[in-house]
Amino acid sequence: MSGRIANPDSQGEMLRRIRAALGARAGDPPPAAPLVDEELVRLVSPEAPLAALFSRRAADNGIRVHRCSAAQLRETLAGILRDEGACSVCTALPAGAVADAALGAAGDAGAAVIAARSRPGLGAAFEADAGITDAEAVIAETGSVVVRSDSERGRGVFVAPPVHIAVLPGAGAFPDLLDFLRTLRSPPTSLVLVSGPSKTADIEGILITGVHGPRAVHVVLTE
Amino acid sequence: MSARPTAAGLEEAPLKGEEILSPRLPYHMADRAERAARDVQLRQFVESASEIKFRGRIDTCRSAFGDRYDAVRRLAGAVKQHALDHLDGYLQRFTDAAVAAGAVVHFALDAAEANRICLAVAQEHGCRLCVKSKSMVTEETRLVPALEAAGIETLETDLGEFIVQLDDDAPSHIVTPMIHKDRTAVARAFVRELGAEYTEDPQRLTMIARAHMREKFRAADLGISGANFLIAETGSLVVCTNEGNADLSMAAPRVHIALVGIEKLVPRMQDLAVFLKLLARSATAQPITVYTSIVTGPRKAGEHDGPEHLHIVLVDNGRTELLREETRELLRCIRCGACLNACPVYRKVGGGHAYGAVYSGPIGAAITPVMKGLGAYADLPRASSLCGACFQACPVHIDIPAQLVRLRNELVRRRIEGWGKRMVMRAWTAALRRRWTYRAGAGLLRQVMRARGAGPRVVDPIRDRRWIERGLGPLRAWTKERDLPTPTRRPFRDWWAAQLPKKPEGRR
Repeated sequence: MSGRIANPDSQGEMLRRIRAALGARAGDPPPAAPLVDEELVRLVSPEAPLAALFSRRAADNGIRVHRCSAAQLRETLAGILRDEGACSVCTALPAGAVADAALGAAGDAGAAVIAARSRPGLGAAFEADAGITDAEAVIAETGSVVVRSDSERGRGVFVAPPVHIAVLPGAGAFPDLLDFLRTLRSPPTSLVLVSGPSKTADIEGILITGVHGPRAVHVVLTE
Repeated sequence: MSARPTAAGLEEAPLKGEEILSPRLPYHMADRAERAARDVQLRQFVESASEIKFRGRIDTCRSAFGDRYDAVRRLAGAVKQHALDHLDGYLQRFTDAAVAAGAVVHFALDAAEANRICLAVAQEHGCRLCVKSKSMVTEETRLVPALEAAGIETLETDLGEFIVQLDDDAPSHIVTPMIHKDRTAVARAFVRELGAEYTEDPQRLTMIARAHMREKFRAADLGISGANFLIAETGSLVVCTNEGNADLSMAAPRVHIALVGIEKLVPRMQDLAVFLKLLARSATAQPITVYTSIVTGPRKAGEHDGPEHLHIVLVDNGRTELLREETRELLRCIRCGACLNACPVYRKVGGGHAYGAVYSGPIGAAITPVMKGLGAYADLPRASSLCGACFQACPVHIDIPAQLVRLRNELVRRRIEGWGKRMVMRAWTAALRRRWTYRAGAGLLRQVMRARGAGPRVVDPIRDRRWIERGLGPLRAWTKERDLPTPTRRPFRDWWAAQLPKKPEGRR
């Protein structure tokens, strides 16, 4: 279904009210927005040791960070799956080294693979004990992993299973939120910055993890 | 509020959600504040929860930004102000981009229209079960009861909101809606409504909720969310949560409706950096929320999951009223709740319910009278000591005390303030104009108050005073909850003058 404006009458009335409040003339395009001053806003310099800083901040958020070579990826993933006691793994990965390592690791750890596409919607992700994603990037400032959805990646794998394992193949660390968001000219349908396991403190302010999303998040950085 | 023994040992029937958020108007704050004043446990919850967040915010902002903090929040305020100053242009820009991304964009002038649109969309797609993430706009429009009345089962999926919903209660804080409830209230609600086994362990309670809601997420055919920001240049919705419930609500069902106030617009994606850095630090002292989700359009061809239909409902419901120049800055609010946590009045009145509206605390006191009528909510601008803690806490630099003073001026100008009070103030103004009238008035008051004083006298020659336990006339209400110290025999000013060396002649 393609996009459209559902009720142009109300749109017209809302714009009329807005212009009445602003005293603005119709159709004037907004002038340039205030400059986002880097000196003020930037919290991490591009020269910072990004992998180390990311690892520290991610750990502060409750993410477990693993570093290994591309050749060790399968072994590292299998180790995580065993430690978490995962009997099934959901994946939505483009064909390539990460997908191969994930499939191999699942076999090594004795976990069944449930491809995201094997069930409608998020069905597969809801069934699995763990989900493996390939991260778009990591952000050192906030210790965040960026996961996207597109024709090869899903929206459920990182949030529905109790364990989420994100693999960042090669380089892809941004120093500051600013650096990452400036690259985002045409965003995908869904892009999520994940900064830790699912959390709540609604009951008397006591921190509990794994409320709706995963109780554990692992990030594997490969060299 | 759940029924619990009060200080007086009485059980009070809890108020229902509808009653709390939509009280009979004009609204009188005193009744609920008094109710809260008697509920020691409630005040302790609110006090400690706000205090922890208050300290946490100061620490994280200081450690992240240091001396730059004030300049950063001015910048954030300036970006939001710019978006509001050109709201018509940005609204159109957003609409064009969202439509290009495949969303259906609706415009709702008021609450009734917003609910009507949601119902029509739900019915058009034959939806029966709705999972909903937290959204203040849907509280404004009372969307959930409207959906339920139309036979669409609707589940609040934010844990706090879920518990509030089970108890037919109302949220008492923008960010932590069940700040007024404890674990036993949760345990009772789960036994009663979900048939769960009784437990007071927060971990196990959370897992009960998780299990219950997972089944609903899997079966739901409609997801409703709000948004923290709208990006004009890309037509994106930005949703920040810690639980991941918004991601599941948006991705699992085949239809997604986002209800968003038009003040959420920001011009560019890069502006988001400024707001994300401030939002979670101000709200919960985190550097960023666990999930920051940027959604642009529905599922595209070839994608396996995500909603087939994305409907974005842009809501006015009083916002164009606030957009007038003198109140425009109030629309910069990013709903972090920092001003609530900082406010001594919010803490003392037992949290949000005392404000009788969806938005509570200092920001609520400033916007509710404009959105819903000053005559109906005249008590709110009065409920502030004007200490300025809210202004200091605000990440987008809204001068809330100035807005409250402006509303108080309006109360007088529009003669909503009673005749008696206006006359007293007029007399006071006249007395303060001249030195001798002020001194004579203050001297008379001093004598009257000293005559009312009771109890043991402090013999200290400087402090020489007693306590007034029951005031006269209008002072009686004030002394109901506290004792008022009498003035000393001699004003401090006279004592101070006597300590100074003799002044040269001619000094006034």
